[in-house]
Amino acid sequence: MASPPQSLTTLLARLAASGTDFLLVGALAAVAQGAPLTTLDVDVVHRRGADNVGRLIEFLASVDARYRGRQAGSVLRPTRDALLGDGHHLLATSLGPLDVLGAIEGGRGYDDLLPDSVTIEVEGQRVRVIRLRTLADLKRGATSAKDRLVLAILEETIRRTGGR
Amino acid sequence: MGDETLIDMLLALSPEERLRLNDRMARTIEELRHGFAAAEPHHAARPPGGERD
Repeated sequence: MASPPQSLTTLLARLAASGTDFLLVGALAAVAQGAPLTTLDVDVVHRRGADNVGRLIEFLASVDARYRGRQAGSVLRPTRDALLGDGHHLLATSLGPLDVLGAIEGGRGYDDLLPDSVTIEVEGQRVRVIRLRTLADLKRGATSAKDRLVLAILEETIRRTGGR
Repeated sequence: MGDETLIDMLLALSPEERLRLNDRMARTIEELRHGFAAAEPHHAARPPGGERD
């Protein structure tokens, strides 16, 4: 069965257009800043205030978000209470996979990471993206072969951008 | 191509252009997965994604 057409770019832009405060993290953040990687999902850290989670829930409903990896016919959708916590929500949406993360390595949440972000424009929307250098710092403690490979790519990209 | 690298080529694009390039690559990977699964059904057991990419 073929997958429906998906666009992580449009998913990101629509999330930004919803007014939800979030930071793009993970491999797509590196891609946006020039790292030669390919990723199949969007990773974001959202601000966990009640008002912001309300906007996020509304957006997630608009893209038919439900948890990935469940048996066919078993649909579980994210709740407001769950999104107020610091857990990870690995979701499928009508525009592609979306990982909504309350906090990442070291328990760092939106407010902790915001100073280490830059702004890019996507489909006319402003999107805050975690800096390459911070992404590399987050990978430095990882031990998997994949993470070590990604770290080497991030470091080379940082070097070629003059150390941004 | 001289000493021009893939990173240099990507850095010459806008962030949105880089994201759209990723979209195209991701679609190609998905097409390959579907094609491979159709040809080799016993390899099609990968779930639709229960872990972070």
